[in-house]
Amino acid sequence: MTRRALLPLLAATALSACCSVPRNDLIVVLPGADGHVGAISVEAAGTKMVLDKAFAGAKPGAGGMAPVEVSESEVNQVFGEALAARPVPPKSYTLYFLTGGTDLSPDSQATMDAMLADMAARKAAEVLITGHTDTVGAGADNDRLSLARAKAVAATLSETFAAKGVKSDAITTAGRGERALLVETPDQTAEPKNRRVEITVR
Amino acid sequence: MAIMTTSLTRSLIVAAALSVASHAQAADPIGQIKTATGAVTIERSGQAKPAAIGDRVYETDTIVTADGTVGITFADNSMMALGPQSRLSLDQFAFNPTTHDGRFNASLAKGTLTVKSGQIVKQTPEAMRIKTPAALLGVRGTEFAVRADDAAPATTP
Repeated sequence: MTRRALLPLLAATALSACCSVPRNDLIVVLPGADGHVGAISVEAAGTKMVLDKAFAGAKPGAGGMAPVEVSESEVNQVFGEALAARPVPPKSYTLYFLTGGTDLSPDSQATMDAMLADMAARKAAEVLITGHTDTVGAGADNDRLSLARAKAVAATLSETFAAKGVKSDAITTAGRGERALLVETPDQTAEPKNRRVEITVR
Repeated sequence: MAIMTTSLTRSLIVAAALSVASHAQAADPIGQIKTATGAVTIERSGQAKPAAIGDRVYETDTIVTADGTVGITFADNSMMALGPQSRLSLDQFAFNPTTHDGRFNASLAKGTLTVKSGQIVKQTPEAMRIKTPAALLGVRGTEFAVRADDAAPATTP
């Protein structure tokens, strides 16, 4: 492109920049409390970018989108109030039961106490009870078994939860079958550590 | 013939699953308000009501803050928090607690939002999408923040 052709183009760009109201949009990736950094894709004004570093940001506007490095202090300045409003993250506790019953194993009693203390410390606490199985048997049967295990624990603990002020509509159950093994095993493998119930407080 | 039967069966299963899913979405809460300060409002079915800690939120609710802030934890453990002068619509939320398959679409019309994605994104990256007047975000994980400016005309991609 010759210098002569470039001039009107520059003029046009300057004109469009001058007459559109500048937007103040900002998107920024934050590091997790555990140091984990995720990624988000951002599409704006016909362009697409992926942000995958801590404090990597983008400023989309009518004229396009610019990648920006955002400082931690700018994040706190812009998002301070929203950051302060974040809920306490959900926390999971894993309980093991004595074989063939609903009595907790001795080790799990301490876990249970920690879970109840956490529950009492939260506002509007909810409890999600999730059952898991090992890989013995068919997947569909394990879905049913894990849900039955979760419901049995919910029934066993219902009075304990009620005593802590957690209403029954704040307690939900789920069965994950053999999808989330604690100990990776081949199929059709008995593994006591995988036959467990996880209680998530949130 | 065998192929036709299979195809018909599959259609029926899909139809049944969809009807169950839409029924569940209409009835079940998708999250709960865990933090709230100042004036926070939930707009639901054309009506606005003040929101407080412990209130459930539902698909298609719009959460509005004036001078206040609000924090919500959702059924898949994802979390969102709004700063003041913000407006967030929970456009679509579906979550299967057994498989963790799901979808979460929300729109931030204005204000500030912080997000920590949950099981939906862990199972299916980009199954959570956040729309603003200027941009469309596909979430692969995990924590991020968005400010949407309502001063300029919308240029949704």
